Amino acid sequence: MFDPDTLSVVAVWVTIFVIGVGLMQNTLYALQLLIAWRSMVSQPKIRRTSILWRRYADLAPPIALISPAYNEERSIVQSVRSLMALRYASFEVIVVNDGSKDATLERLIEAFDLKPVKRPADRSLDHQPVRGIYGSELHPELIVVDKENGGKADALNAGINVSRAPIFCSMDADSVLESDALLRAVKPFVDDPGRTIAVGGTVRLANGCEIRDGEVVSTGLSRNLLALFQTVEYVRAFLMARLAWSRIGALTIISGAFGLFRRGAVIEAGGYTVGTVGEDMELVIKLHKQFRKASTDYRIAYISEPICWTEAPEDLRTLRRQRERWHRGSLETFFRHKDMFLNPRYGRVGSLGFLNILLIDVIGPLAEVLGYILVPLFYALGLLSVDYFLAFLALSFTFGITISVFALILEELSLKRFSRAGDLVILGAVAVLENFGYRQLNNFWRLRGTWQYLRGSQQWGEMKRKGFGGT
Amino acid sequence: MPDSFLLALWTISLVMAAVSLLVLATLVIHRLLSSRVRQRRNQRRDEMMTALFLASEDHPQSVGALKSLAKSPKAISQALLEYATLVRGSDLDLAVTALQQAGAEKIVLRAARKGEKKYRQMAAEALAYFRSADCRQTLKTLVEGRKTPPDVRVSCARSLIFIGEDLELSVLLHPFQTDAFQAPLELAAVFRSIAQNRPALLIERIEEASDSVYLRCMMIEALARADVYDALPLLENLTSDSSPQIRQSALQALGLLELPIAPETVTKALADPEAQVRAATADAIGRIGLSEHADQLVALLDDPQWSVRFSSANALAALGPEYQHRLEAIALETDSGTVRRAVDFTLSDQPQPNHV
Repeated sequence: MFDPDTLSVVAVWVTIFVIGVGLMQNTLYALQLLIAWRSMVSQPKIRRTSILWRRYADLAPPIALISPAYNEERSIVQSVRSLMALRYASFEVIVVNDGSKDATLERLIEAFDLKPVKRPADRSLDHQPVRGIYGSELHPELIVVDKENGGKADALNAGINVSRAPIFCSMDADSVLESDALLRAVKPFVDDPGRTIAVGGTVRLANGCEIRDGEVVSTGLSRNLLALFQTVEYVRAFLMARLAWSRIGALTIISGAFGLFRRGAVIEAGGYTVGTVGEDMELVIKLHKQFRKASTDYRIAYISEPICWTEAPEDLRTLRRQRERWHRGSLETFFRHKDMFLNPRYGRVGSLGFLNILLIDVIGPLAEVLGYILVPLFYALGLLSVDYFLAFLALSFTFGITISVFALILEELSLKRFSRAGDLVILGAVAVLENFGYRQLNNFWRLRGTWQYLRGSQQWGEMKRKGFGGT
Repeated sequence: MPDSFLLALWTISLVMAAVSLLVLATLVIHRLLSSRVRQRRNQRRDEMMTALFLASEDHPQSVGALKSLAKSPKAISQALLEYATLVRGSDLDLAVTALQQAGAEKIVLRAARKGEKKYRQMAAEALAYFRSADCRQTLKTLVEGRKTPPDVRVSCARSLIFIGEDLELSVLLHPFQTDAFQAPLELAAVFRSIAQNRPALLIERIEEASDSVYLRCMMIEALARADVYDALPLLENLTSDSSPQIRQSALQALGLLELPIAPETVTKALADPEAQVRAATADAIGRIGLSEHADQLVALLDDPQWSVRFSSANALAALGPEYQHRLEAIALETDSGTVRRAVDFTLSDQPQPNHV
């Protein structure tokens, strides 16, 4: 049916494409590791909160913690209590009830003796109508905004409008901040207040940790294999990738679960874009764009020390939805701001940052899945050298393992949140295991995400969580 | 492709696998060892804190205990800084004396001068408590040193001020002109102390206009917070500065000082092209109680910028009950939704039962 010579040429070119993309990805990872390593070694770590408190308590700017909540009746009261117990000199907690269909608002009213209040609010950002604002005489630092449902981005915009502090912290209602997280995260705003517009902290997985009264009392590893795979992924993503991109000034994402932003800068950039699934990444790109266009010196940084704990999906279905959504978010941001790609006006963000998104998110899964599909096909057609296939496969796997193991060293150098030596052995084994099935599955989900993006899907997808309430 | 290429691929894979295994094994061994070290370190820290408490009670064995414990500059600095947050006055002085007798001061001095980069700032902070001539000299040398990292320099400046030493502003600020690390908020604390003790220095420095806008704004705020009334002529001048941030800071400072401002200065500032300046002026009027500008504030209730409308309404409310009633009347009579909203929000924030 096909001319064998043509097939052979196609096979060679497809192979070159797949290997080429893989090589470029691996080069990027290796560079990230080296840069992150350098950054980690040169950053002085302050282990004791008391030293930080002494240094920053009277200087740190006020922060508004904005926590959007949708159907969180089970955990909202405990989450808010843990937020109000944070160790920081001046902050307010703004919970935005985003049109929850359950009793989220009622739980809050009951627990904190909330009453309707009138609060002057800036209308700089658009959002769905606010139904009411609630405050408490007992807890003057708590404000609850009840609004029509509009999604996370819309809720955050409402929170930004209502907030009065110069810096706001966006977070998820179901995440837990370490008590000194704000004190640590605000450091770039204190050290370099003129330039710093956004700071991201580390997000870690709480699966397997003991959480009591909204506080992580002991850390540990989950017994669920999927959660373990994600633990290794998070260590790589934060302590290696984000640290490196921050160091070179091309950080393109600050996690929606925990990020600090200068309110004025975000308002100037138009706030969160409603109707996107990757609103956190989109906002960071918008900020880069805004400040680069205005030729204003600025800094968007990631620092590893402040930690936010979040719950990872432990079943395939929820994880698939999350990964598909994340991938759609990356693609959406990449194509929405494609004018920045390789545009000298946008410096390293437009070149290196966007090249990274292109290689890892746009082409990456396509190349890898293409490889999985074509290998058996080429083998059947006699076009595949099994020896070389196995050699490349081994190279790819061992490279991935090496990167993961070195990322664990970064963790050991900085956070040391894996409490036992045995945890490191388990994670080392997981770094090997993830190459056999999980990695392929992940790429397949991301390819599905690409397909959904092309079809224009905006679905968020239900997130099944166990919650911290019982643990 | 030649077989040697295939061999190279496998060799690289095997080397990476071996390296990974080795690194992981090292990591685990390191963790096992470091947990013990950490345990021991925590134990020493607790013992040092206990020894410091004993020293505060002038216990004869405290110096001996501290001598055996105070080996690393990090441990000493950390313990001393933590202790200083718990204990003050003569108790703290006794503990510091005991540390000096135990030889800890020399260790911290060495660390501040040329110790490990990551502990120098902490050492500079700890030196503030020793107060000896050697410490003062070291802190001064570090502030002046061009090679001293900016964070260490600022900490030294804070320590010098804490001890009660005069600080040459030009020496401290000069290197910040070219540094990327331009304006740490820790400098605000330094400015505040200078404003309290030697305000003329700050006034002179602001007049020179040699620093960045951000630094000058911090200096202006420091003067206002320290109630430096001598700064009034300078602040009035700065309301005509070319930088909107400086104009805004000057007006905020005038508001904080609560001294009457020349009417022509206020009128000009209320018509400033920058909204932040108009808003700061309205705030200042409210704080100072310049009721003669009430009509101008009423006009600004229809300003295109929300912050100006809100500040104007707030300022009117701050002028007293007469103007609060006027605001209520405006809210009832106005056809403009934006004006009504600004007034309504302001009145709802006032501590009185009958709002609109």
